[in-house]
Amino acid sequence: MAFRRAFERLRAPIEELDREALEEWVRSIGATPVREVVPRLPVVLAGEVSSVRIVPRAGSPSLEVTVTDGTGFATGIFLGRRRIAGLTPGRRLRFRGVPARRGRVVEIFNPVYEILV
Amino acid sequence: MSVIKRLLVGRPLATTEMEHQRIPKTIALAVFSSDAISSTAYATEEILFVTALGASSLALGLDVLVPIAIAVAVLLAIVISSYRQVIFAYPDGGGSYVVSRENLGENPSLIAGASLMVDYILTVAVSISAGVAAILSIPAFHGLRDQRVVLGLVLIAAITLANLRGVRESGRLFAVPTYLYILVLTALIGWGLARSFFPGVFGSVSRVPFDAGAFEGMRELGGSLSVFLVLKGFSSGAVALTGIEAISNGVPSFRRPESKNAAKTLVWMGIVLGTLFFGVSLLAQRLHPYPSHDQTVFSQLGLAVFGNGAVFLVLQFATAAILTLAANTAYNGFPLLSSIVAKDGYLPRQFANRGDRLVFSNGVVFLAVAAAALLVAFGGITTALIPLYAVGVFTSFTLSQAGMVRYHRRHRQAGWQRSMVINGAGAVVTGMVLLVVAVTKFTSGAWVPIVVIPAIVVLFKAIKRHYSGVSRALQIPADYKPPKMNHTVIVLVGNIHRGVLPAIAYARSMRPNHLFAVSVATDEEDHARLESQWADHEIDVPLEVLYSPYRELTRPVMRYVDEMDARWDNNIVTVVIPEFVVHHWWEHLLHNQSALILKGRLLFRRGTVVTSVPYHLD
Repeated sequence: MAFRRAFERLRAPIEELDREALEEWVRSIGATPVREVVPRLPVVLAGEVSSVRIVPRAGSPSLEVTVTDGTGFATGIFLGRRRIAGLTPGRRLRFRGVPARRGRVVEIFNPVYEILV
Repeated sequence: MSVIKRLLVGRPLATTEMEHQRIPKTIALAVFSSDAISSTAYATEEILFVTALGASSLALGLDVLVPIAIAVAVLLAIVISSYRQVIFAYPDGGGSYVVSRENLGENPSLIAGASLMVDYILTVAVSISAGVAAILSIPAFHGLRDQRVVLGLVLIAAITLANLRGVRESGRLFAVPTYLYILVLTALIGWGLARSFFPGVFGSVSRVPFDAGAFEGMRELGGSLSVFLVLKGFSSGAVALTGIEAISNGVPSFRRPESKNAAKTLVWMGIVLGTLFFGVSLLAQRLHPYPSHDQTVFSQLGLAVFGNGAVFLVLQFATAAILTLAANTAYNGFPLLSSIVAKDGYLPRQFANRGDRLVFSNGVVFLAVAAAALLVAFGGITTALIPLYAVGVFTSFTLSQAGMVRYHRRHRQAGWQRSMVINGAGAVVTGMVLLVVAVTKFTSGAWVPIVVIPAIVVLFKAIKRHYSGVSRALQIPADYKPPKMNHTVIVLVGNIHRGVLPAIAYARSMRPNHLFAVSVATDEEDHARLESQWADHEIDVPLEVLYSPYRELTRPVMRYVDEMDARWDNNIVTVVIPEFVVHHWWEHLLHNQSALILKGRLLFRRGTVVTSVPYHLD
């Protein structure tokens, strides 16, 4: 049986394994999974930065940092910033703030952030 | 490359030059009947191979030669008169395939088409190997006997080239040897028979000296000749009829009025073929040549009548030349037939396209490759190929005659009863011959076409199924309106170079609903540089940097595109890739081709457009 499980893990896509690992990590530090976010209820999220978007709107640029915790995506939107040192793809962060849902994505404006890894 | 092609194949011809590719009767006789007429060069020998070797007695074999020749001549007359009807009924060509399609339905027409194609390929292989044998029978060339296959391949290459240039030019090039062959063969038969029958007037001619080492049977009586062997010999002789259908397939190549000219040419061909074949068989019966792979019967007759001199050389070279032309007949028929079959959707469409020179180049090339493969597989030995031959041709004869019977009953034009009887007799006789060929030669090779032809029919149907599936899928359903699309454009950015800014401008010009520049970060240093460059160049497009844990490009981008699709309904994604173009092939080696791999992946993704915006480095 153990052998069979090992074999299954060998066949599973890397992304699947990564997602599982992330989910486990998020649970271990006590953050709420993105899947369970309730809009407008303050929340603590954690995840790995999957992409960083710079929106260079003239006058008021913004920086959108999307993290994933294996259950979904959450985007932290920092208004008036073009870049924030340390918020780069691959980092793991904690976001604290009031979430909103837009489509499948959870957004938090100007969250309190903490770089973990 | 194009210079070489121009030199070998000639300048491209415009579609408007098409009409000039028609040929007059005299050249048509050479182009279309060389196949049928050339079979006189080996048909007698092939009969002897069966009867004399089978009975292990040369004398017994020679005895049945003339009766078999008469039977073949009668068969020839029947088939010719049947095919005259075809030519008048179907002036657009296509012969057996078209006749069966119009009158008998899908399956018979496919069988006819497959049979003809197989036989065209065999025509090339048989004629070329017989032509090579004619050259090797000249005593001076005996040393080349081990090179038959190579010589054959060279000949095939030469004919292929001539045909890629176009039918009229190859016709002119080839008209001379056909007439030369007819002339010199008439001389051989006339002079040979005159000397044999009236030795007192013309000087006697001696029999071919018997070479016991070259012939494995006994010379004189002994052994036995069964009915089966005689029939088998007859079916070898029936290969003389292959190529008759060439004219009915090629009616459109004749000058106007096409049908009339084609029918006249057909009758002339029948007369020439019948006379020559009968003459050669009669002469063989008088002079006792023996069948051999090293010295053709034909050349033995030539040596006996003319001696090893200039006339003999002319005979052999004319033989080789007309046999090469016979192969050429297939080059006229095969591409035309395959184009018609392809137009009906049973062969890849490429066969229906005319090339630069207005010929169906793909058909020509396919024929050349298939025939060359056969030639190599059978070692260039004519006798080994003969049993494969004739099955296809008699299948198509039978089907086209049966189709014509249907045609007459349906159309009832003036004199239809008489025509129907002609075609009916043709169908019955050719059907019987087909049966004889298939049964007597099954074990010695006729099983190959009997297996291959149905296989081709299955292939035809599979191709047709694909094409009709595609056209069904492409059909526009009633009152279909395409949904309003949400257009997302993604510009893929590595680092910011001279080519990126125009690519972004280009992406903006599409006025998409959403526009993002996307980059994949492998390390933070890269990321930081990209950010500052983005600001420096004041690019007002959102820049999204994707995390790639395994330093690859393809997967994160694919995932990103998936995400875009999930976000909006009816989303269509255009991925714009700025590319700089280097001007030497080796320069490519110095650049990472990861964009190419990504392009390949995106190409197979639904709802995705990939656009390269080139920037030329000077």
